[in-house]
Amino acid sequence: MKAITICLCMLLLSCTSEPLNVRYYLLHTPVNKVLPQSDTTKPVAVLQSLKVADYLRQSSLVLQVDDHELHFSRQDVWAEKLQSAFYNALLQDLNNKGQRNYLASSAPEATVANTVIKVQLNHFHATDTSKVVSSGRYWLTANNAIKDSNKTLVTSAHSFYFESDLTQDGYSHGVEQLRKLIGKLANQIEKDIAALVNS
Amino acid sequence: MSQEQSPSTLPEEAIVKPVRTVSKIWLVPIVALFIGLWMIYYQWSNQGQLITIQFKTATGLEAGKTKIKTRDVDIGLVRNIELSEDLSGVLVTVRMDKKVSPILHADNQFWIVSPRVSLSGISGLGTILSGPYINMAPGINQEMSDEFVALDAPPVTPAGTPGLHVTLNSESEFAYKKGDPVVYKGIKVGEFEDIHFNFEERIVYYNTFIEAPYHKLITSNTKFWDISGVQMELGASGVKVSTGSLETLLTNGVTFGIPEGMPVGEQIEERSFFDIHPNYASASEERFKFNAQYVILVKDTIRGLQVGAPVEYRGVIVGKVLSINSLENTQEDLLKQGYDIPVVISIQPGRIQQPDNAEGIAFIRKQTSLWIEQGFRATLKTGNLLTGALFVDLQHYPDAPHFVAQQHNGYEVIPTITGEFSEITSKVTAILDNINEIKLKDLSDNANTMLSQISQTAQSLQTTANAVESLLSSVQQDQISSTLAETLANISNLTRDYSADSDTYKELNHTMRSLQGIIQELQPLLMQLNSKPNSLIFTNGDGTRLIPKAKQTNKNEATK
Repeated sequence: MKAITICLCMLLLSCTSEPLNVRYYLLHTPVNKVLPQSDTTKPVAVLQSLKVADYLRQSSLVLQVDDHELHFSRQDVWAEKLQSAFYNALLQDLNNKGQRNYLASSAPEATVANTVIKVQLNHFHATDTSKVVSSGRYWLTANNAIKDSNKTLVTSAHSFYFESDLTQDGYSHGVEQLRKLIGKLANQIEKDIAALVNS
Repeated sequence: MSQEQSPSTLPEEAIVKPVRTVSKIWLVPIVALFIGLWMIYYQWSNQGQLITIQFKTATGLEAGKTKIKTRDVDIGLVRNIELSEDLSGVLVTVRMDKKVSPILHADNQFWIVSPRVSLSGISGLGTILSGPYINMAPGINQEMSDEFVALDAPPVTPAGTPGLHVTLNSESEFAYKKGDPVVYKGIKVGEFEDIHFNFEERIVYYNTFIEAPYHKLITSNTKFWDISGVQMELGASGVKVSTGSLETLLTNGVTFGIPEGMPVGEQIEERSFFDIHPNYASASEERFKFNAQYVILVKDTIRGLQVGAPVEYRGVIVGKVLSINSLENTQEDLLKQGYDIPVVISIQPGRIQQPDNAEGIAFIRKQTSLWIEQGFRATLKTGNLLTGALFVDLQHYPDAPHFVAQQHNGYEVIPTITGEFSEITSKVTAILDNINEIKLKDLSDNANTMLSQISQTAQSLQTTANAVESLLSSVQQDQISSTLAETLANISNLTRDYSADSDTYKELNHTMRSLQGIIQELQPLLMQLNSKPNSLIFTNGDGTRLIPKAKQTNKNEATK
């Protein structure tokens, strides 16, 4: 009897496996900087919507292994939805410029915004060529109330493509580089808004 | 003297000649006499016959002036007018022309022509200026005569007129007079000529003349009936109004014909006798000569039943009522309780496709006797509700009680059953009797009391109903409004709970997000299990791992 019990225990022990080692990544890291109180004199722009490509609507990080082949990592996943993470990161980078008050669409002041930003994200991943890529389109709608009493709306469409080389292995570095690409996008948007308003 | 002087010439002896005693001058009067005689002879030989006509009066006649005419040609002159010996009339002596002597038949008719106005027309207007004259209608009698009796009025039909003389008789109260028309299909074909009243028979005979060629219509089966004025007939089959020609509307008249279904018969050549029937129906009834007579004993009233009323078998007229209560019964019988009124009816074999003779009657009697045993019964039924006219209806009643054949005053009895109207009457009478027995006074008092109580109750009920109605309406309104308000509040709360800013919505949204997160977390596991279902137990979860590589290395593939 004891022998049978011991055999069963051995069998069960041999079947046990190591649990899956999953890593979670956060796109925007906490910054030790408290934003000053919003300056009401600044023009207000609202980041109204962010649309994400369908293959990015999942938690796994994506690695492009060929021109038309992607790899979804099972162990490396986003800590939050890419859509909201990208949205918050972009909003954060835009506000860091200090030219305008960029608000989320749910903010109470969003109704008085004279510039509206809509972003569509097509690519946001690392590649097997040691790069990270971010591309897509965005639309800017400015209300020229100051210059034009008729409050005509001016809309402009723009596309963006940013890439950056990886200097380290692993997804963590890739996420970091992707985060920087968001900063580049924020810069371009800021410039385009300025150009649109001043045009 | 001269003879003596000459001896040679001796005086000759005088020849004595006798002297003529009669002068020639007398020839003149002789000739005149002869002429006179000749004239007398001529007058005598050429004058006509002297006839005597007896008139009732000599109105307008003058001797030597009034003329005799025929066809408006003078044929004589009145010579003398004198009263008859018994003073009953006037004898008028007339000198007729010689030429008319051969036509002085014994049946010549004389009458005075004077202005005359009647319903038939106006005649003799020409005599207003010329004065009346005596007209003569030549007769046809071979005997000659010189004494005549004049007519009071112009004859309706001059003697010798082609046609047929018939004598009509009537037992009814018809009153015809000379000149009244005989009409056939609206055409006047004859006139009443003369009227005789037979005291023994108490029947009025009318000599009637039917003009040629209509006299050919008179046959042995011809029936005459009255069409005077407008005839209204209220019978069992309803009201019937009929009239003849316009002339008969003003005067009386008769018409004739052959009833439907009768053969034409042989043409009448000599004076014949015919009855005048009250109407066509009555005349038509006469086409059947034979009938079988029965008696029915009626227990109910016979009011509305008339002699001549139809006897019907299943709606077909088979006979008529001959008499009602005319059999030998005494008054005591009538007053006796349970007296049955005898009604004699006839069934005519000619009406039921049987020969109109004794054989037909025998067949009817045999068949009826057989049927009576099987429930053949008579009833009085109402033929016309308006007039209440009754008729005798013969029907089969298989459930009728058995009836023993019996005779009543020599007639075979057809048993009767109570008529429908009598049944209704008896039932209504019974109901009325019951109503009479009800104490209506008490009933009305009670009814009045009850009605007043009902009225009070109704008033109180009305009040209560009003109160209940108002109460119900108020309750209903309050309840409905409160329920509605509550429901709306609930709906409002519900919508508020589920609105975009509500806690529920947020919680729901949060739950959905959490669920989505969990699904995202489960996705790698699911993918692993999907690729290797036993990896949960037998292998660790890492497997092959692709990671991005740094720029320095060309190949990013590595295994863990």
